[in-house]
Amino acid sequence: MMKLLISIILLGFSNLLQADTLVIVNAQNPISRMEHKQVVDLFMGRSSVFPDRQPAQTLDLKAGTPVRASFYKTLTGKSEAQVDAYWATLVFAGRMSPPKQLTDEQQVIAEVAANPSAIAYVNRQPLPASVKIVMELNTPE
Amino acid sequence: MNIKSLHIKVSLSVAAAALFVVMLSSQFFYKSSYESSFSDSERSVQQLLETVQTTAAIAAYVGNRELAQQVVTGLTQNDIVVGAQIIANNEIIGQDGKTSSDAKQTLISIPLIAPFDDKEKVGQLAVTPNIALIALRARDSAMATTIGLAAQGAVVALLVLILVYWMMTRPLSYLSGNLHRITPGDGKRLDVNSLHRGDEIGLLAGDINALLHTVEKMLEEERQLRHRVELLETRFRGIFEDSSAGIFLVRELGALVTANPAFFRLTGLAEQQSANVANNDIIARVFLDHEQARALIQLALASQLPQAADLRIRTGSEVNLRWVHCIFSPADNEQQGTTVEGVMYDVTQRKFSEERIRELAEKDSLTGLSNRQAAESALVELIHQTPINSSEFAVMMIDLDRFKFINDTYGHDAGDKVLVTVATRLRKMVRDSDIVARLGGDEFLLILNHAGNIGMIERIAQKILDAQQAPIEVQPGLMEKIGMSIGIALYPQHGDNSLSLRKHADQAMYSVKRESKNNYAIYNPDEKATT
Repeated sequence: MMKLLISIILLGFSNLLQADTLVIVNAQNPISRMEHKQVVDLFMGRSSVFPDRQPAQTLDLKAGTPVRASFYKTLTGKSEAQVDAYWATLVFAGRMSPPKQLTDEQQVIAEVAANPSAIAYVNRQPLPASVKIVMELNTPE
Repeated sequence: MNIKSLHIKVSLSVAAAALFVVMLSSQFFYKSSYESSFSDSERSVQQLLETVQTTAAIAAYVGNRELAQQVVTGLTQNDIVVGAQIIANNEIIGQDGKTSSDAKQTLISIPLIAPFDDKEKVGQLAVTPNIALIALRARDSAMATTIGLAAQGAVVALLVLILVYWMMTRPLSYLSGNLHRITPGDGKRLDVNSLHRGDEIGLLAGDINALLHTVEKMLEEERQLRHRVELLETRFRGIFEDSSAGIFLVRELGALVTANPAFFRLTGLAEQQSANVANNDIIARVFLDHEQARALIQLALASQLPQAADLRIRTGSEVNLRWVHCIFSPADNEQQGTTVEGVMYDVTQRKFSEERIRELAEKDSLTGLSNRQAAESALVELIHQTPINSSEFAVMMIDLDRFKFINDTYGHDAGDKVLVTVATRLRKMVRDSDIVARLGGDEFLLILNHAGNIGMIERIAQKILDAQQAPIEVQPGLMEKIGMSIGIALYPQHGDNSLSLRKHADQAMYSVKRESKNNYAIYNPDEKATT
C-alpha cells in the first residue's frame, strides 16, 4: 500500500522529476548496489564484468531517446553526441562494440528480466519483481 | 692608390667596424634565433601531444591497444617525433619508434585523464622528440637569420662607404692632388665643385686659395727686394773691385778679413798668399811703418774716428820706396766683430815731389850742403831744443883763403870744383848729425851738436885745417892748395840766439883772416873793441 502510494506520488511528480533514472539488473544478480564509477566503467566499455567478476551485458536505448541523453548526461557529464563520438572512436579502432541498443524501455525491462547478466537504465517507474535497482541517478535539476 | 690613402683608411675602418658589429650581432642573433626556433619546435611537439590527448586518453581509459597504437603511430609520422608510447596502469599499451630507454633523450609527456572523470589519471602519453632534427632546423633558421643580418650590415656598410667616398674622400683627394701639383708662384688656384660651395671642403679650398695668394704676393715682393739688393750689391762690388784705392778690412790684431784687387796691386801681395795668412798679421807684412800703422788702428778704435797718415809699405827693395796715404776707420759689425776698415792710395809721386821741393828749398844746389835758410832754421831749432844750462854746441864760420884769386885766375868751373871738394871734405870731418851748410860764395857754416869741451872743438877745427893741406886739381894737371879761416862761437857762452852766435863766429873768423890766415880762432869778447 505504502509502496503504491509512493509510486503514485512519484508518478504524480514524474513530469517534474523525469530526470530521475534507475539502473536495473536481473533480480537474480547477487549485486545489490553499484558505485557510480562502476556503472560508468561498464557503460563506457572499460569494464565488462560486475564487481563480483560475473560477466555483464550493457543494454542501451536507441539514439535520440530522451532518457538516453538524460542518462549519459547525468552519468558521465557528456552529451549524447559526445558519447556517440566516443564509441565511434573505439569502434573504428576495432575489437570494441558499444552497448546493445533496444527501441524502448519496455523491451529493456523485458530483456533485463530475462538475462541474468544484463544491466540497463530506465526512467523511474514501477518495475516488475524480476528486476532490481542497483543505483539511482538523480538529475540535478 | 697607396695604403695610406684617406679612402683606403676610411674603407678599412668602416669595413672593420661593420665586421665587428655583424660578428657581435650575428652571434647574439644566432643564439636567440636558435633558442626561439628550438622552443618553437618543442611547442610544436607539445601541441602535437595535445591534439591526440583525447584519443590517447580514451585508449588508456579502456585499455584499447589498437587505438593506442593508432595514436602513437600517428605521432611518429611527424618527423620531429622519433618515438611515442602510451602507458596505462603501468603497462605500455601502445608504442612506436625509439623510446627513451634506447635514445637516451628527454621525454615530453602529458598525463592522460579519464574521459568521464577529470580526477582520475588513467595513463600517460610520452614522446621522444627528434632533438637532432629540431637542432638542425633551429641551426638552419638561425643561420638564415644571421646571414640575412650580415648581408644587410654589409650592404649598409657598402652604402656608407660609397657615400663617404663620394661626398668626402673623393673631393678631399681631388683637392689634395690639385694642391700637390701647385707650386706657389705659378698662379694656379684650386677649383672646387659647386656641390661643396658651402661646406667644409669648399671652405678649405677657399682658405687654401687665399693662402696661395698671400704666399705669391710675398714671394713676388721678396723677389723684387732681392733684385734691388743684387743691383745694389753689384754696384758696390763694382766700386770695391774697380777702385784704384786699396780697400781692406782687418781685425784688431791685424788679421785680414777681406781686401779688393787694388789692395793686392798696391802691396804686391798675392791673393792666395793673403788667404793663407788670414790669421797672421797683415799689418806687419804690408807696412814698413807697421808700428805707426798699429798705433793708428788703436787710435781709430779708441776714438771711433777715422785716422789717417802717410805710411811706407814694404816692397822688394829698400831703394824702391812706396808711400801710401792710409785712412783707418772703425768698422764694427755684427758678423765680423771688432774690425777696422782701411783705405790706402799711392802717394809715392807726391811724396817724392814734396821731398824734391824741400831739397830745392834747403840744399845748396852746387855742393849738396844745406843752404843759408836751412842752416838758419836748423840753428834756431837747435837753440830752441837745447836748454841753456845743459850742454853746449859750437858754430864754426869758415871762409876760404885765396878763393877769389882762384876764381878769377882759373874761372868759375875751377872755383866750383874747389867749393865741391871743400864741401865733401867738411862733410867727412864731422858727424852725420852735425850740420854743414854753404852760406853763399866761399862761406861755410858748421853746427856741431854736443860739441863737448873747447879742446875737442879745437881738435876738430885743426883736423879740418889739416885736411885742406891736400891740393885740389883746379884744372887738369894744375894743383892748388886752399887754406881757410875758421871762427868759432860757443852756445850759450858766446850768444843765446842765432844772430849773435853767427856774428861772434864771424868776428873770430875775421880776426884769423886779418892775422895769419889758414887758422882758427875762438871768439874772444875782449877783442870786440878792436874790430
